[in-house]
Amino acid sequence: MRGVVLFLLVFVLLPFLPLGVWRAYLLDAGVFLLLYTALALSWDLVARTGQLSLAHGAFFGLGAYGVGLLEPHVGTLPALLSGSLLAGLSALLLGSVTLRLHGLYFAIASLAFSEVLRTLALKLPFTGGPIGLPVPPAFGGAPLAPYYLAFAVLAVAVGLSLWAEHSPFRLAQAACRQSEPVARVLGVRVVRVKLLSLLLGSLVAGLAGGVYAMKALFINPYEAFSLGRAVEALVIPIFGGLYTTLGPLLGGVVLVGLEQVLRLWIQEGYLVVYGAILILAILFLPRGLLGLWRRRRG
Amino acid sequence: MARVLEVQGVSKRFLGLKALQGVTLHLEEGEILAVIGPNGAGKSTLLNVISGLLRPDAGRVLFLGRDVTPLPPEVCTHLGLGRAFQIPTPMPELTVRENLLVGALFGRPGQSRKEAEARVEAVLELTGLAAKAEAPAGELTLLEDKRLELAQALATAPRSSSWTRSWRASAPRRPRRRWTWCGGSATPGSAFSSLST
Repeated sequence: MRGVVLFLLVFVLLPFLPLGVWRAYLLDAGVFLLLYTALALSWDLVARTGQLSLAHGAFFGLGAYGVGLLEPHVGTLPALLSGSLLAGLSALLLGSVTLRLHGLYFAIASLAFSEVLRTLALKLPFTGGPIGLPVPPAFGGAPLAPYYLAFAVLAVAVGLSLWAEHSPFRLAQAACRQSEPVARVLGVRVVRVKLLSLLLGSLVAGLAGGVYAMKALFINPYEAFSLGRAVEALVIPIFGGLYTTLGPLLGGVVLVGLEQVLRLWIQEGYLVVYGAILILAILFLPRGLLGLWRRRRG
Repeated sequence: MARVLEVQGVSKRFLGLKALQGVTLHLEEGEILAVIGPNGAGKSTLLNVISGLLRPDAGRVLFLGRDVTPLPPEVCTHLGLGRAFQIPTPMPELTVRENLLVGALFGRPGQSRKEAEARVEAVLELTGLAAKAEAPAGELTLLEDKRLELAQALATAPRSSSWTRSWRASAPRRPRRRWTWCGGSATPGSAFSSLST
């Protein structure tokens, strides 16, 4: 809990720290770091019920397209909320059809869902097709707006995650994850718990996608609905420590930060090194960074 | 004596295998019933049918006079039925206390967290698991596992005032011994006792 507060504090104050020549770069990279971390937390929120979602790239994309299509007409915040609601609605649809499926079957269904949405974004008449969609900047281009919007999204994700971690909902989620039949016999409404988790996760992912669109200023179906993003959303929590709030936060900072550092340092082919580090982490840190830290202390 | 549980002509087959055929039994208030049989006799299937995890091909299950055959297991639990003692193991990553809290919190909707926690304490005491309350359930011995399964069922507490009574009545001052016997039997679940109202 203290770690989480400290983490948020650092990011609130980042724009006011004396960063020198690095300031512009760090704040720019910071927006993406905050957004991907929020996305990772929103994925973890679903993973806590034992469901492996590959639809988080799609929720992210829906949020992005929602903002892209609506922001010129209704303004920044309403567009952001609508994009998030759009993602939430799609999650309810997906969930009510597929959440009776378990584990891998749900993963495949969510992957298919994500592909369907990308195809729709390519083919529908109002999405700009494969060319994509320009997006106006947040609040008419106020300088720190994307940074603090991204921070707000992460704060919402952290708030939801902490609530889920410290209320009876945690036990309901853990029960669903560990054994659905046992959970049901003990009276847990399994489908409802999974559906609510997916809804909350998708709302956050939609918000993250919306802010992303306003920062990138341009979206296309390959970028917005990329499977790579769904995979990143699950790699970060696994790397940092699953089923916790602090785990995805740590994982997000380290992994997204690492990616940036490697890109600057190694440049061409940096993803090979990035991949190798991930493989090593999976092999030697089965419980993520958080597990390492706890082992040291305990 | 009210009839608490009634199983009427229940049959269940898995593809070609006949697991249950025309099982009929009933349970009165305060009564304890043991179902015994060798491996594969259908004990688990019977328990799963009663708790709603499986639908029977024929026959009905009545709980307090109400037909619960078509109801899903969580609804059976909310009504006060529904503890199959031998579904896999308890949830290994949660501590013993948390395992019980799941049943206490969700087994009976609309009660406070305080009440649930108090009941968990009582159940821990009753089943002799108090010393193990903070241990992850995955680290329990087989015998303690069996006790935890019983404790989980008790934690869902149908009409909480009566379960203690019926449990005490069933094993006055000697819960330990009774469960030694159960844990020692070759198949988990070769004893089936209903501790309802």
